[in-house]
Amino acid sequence: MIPGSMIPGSMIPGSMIPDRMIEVLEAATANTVQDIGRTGFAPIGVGRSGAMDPVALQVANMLLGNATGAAAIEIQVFPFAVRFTTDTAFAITGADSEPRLDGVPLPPWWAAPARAGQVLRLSPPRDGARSYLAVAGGIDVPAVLGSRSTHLRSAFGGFHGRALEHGDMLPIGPAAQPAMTLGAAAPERPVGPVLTVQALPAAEHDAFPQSAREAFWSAEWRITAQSNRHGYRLSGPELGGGDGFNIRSTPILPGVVQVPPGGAPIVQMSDANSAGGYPKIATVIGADLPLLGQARLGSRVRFAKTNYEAALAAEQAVRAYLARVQRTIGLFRRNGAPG
Amino acid sequence: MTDLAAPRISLVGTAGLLFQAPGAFALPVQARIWHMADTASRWPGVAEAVPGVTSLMLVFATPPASPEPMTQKLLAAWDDSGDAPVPEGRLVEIPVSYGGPHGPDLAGVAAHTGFDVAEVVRRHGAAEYRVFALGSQPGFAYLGGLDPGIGVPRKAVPVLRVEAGTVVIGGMQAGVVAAAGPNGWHAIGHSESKLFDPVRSSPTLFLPGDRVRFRKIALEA
Amino acid sequence: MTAELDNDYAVRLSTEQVAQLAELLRGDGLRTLQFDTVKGRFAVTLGDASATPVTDAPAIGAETVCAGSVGEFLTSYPSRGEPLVRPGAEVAPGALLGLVRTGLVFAPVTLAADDPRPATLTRILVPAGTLVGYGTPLFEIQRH
Repeated sequence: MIPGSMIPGSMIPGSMIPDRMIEVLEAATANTVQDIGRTGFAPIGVGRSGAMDPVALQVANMLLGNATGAAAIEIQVFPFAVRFTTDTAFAITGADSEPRLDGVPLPPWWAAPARAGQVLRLSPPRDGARSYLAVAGGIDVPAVLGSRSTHLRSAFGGFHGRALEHGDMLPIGPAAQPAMTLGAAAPERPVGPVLTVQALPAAEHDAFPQSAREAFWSAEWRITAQSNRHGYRLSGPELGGGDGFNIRSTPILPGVVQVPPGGAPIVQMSDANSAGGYPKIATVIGADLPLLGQARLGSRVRFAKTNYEAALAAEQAVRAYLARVQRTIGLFRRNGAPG
Repeated sequence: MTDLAAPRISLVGTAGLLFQAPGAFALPVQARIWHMADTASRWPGVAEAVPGVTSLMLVFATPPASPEPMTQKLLAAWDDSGDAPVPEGRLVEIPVSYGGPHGPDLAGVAAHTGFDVAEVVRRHGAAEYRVFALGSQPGFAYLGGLDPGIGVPRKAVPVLRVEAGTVVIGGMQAGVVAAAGPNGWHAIGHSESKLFDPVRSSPTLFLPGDRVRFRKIALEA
Repeated sequence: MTAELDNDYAVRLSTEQVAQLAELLRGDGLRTLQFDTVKGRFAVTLGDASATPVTDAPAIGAETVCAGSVGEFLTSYPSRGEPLVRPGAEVAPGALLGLVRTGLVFAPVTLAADDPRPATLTRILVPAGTLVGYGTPLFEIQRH
């Protein structure tokens, strides 16, 4: 037997050394540790949580050679700053928050090495709502019910089940790949004053009066200030007729649009409850949910009715983008650079 | 609440299918849902089978080219579930301190029902409830079996914060709040039982199918 | 696919790398990538050959910063527009001068940090949007 092979995992260099950390220097409320989400626990009432823009999260991890669903920091309140207490690598994706490493500007959707002591600062983005800061090895908080995502309402997962605060020291896992400076092209997403997301009719769609259905699909909705990771409360025409039928609570998923009494729809987002008892008029398709995750409070959104086949094609396009990013990064990692 | 005349199956985007059973909010219907969930969880292409209150959501492992075959399988599974036995279920007892600061709506429920407070408490504690499904919050159970005499419609305006452990009544359902937050049900008491602990080997106190009894340990007017 | 060699260029690519490049070309709908090195020019062509990029020759004796990968040369990050650096600017060792886009990945073009002296960027030798190869001179600099 090799001497030292009995050393517990926590003692192996690089696995869980306490100084492999990032320190939160500046944080307002509502920035949390999130991974790709928590699945499999809906039968006991646990919703998914996870990144609001899972595409950005996955690309950040790809740039570092992490598992694509590894935990990162989701930043939705700016400014935000961290100090690296160890030499490591980081990636920043999602909304362009003009990252600066020790004052030196970096491109968006970018990975770079950081030395111990360096400070990364993020500023309020001009477009988009959420940036993702990933580190090589991932944010190594304990997985709870199979995920490192923060479940704020039940206060578990993430960093002690809460939003990040000044002075928090987040552990970093062992890096799987050496640090590289590399960027990724952000997915091509529509720009314009009104975001259009595709949706499919949901369970109670046809039970709404025709006028309410027409209003839902044609209106320009505003994302109100009462919107968060749980759900986006929309303002626009009142969708009457939904309070005539009080349905039993059914399981729901992020993307489902419920219409409570009062007629103002709520789009369920990442922190949605596992079940809901309001009529469901539509479901935003998986391919377009990340677009909504990047929509800002006060911005406008429209729902375009699509069909199952078109929705599948849109999701295939997202998967193809991610696969292509992963493949090209793989070439760079294997060869240093192609050529 | 209108009962469906026939099963309703709808898309949850491309993520899955929602099956809503016809018939009443009743245990034999729910037993069929549990039976279907058990069966469907083993179907190829199904990542999760999530039972709701007289409903079942199947989450696709990968969205199929067409949802039609699985829709047909669900309908067949419903037809096959007609004689699904009602499971015995574990008995879970919840000690309750009725009234007081954590049960501020007890007097209001009594006024609404026409019973005195003691009778509301007696009826609440006399019934045996069933966990139909868990949902909404981690560990929150939709309990069927409330004495119809003490059913009260949910509040028009939810209370902003109701603490975990609060014993509540809403419509014809009973429950125990699992995580503090806004709540539109009527708070009639409080329990020290911990309904959800994510690092416990069984994270939730309740599981679908459990039988539940409330035991009075105190009554504060 | 063909790989053509001018002069007696020492091939730096493995067969696997050439195959990977071809895959990238196909994925991006491109047809030709050219590698300029001190020893000559090397082009990877899918199907029919197409035009090769035009580059300005650097001034005799001037120091250049060259591409480290194959792809489209960019002087700004697409969604930002603002150039990373302008001619005449003083740049620090390690500074990001440009990008080379290969498929969906951007590789950095940085001022080498092994020489600790800052430099002035005197000229951009290749227009943005040009396909460049490993070793293509992109920037002319003058060390202080």
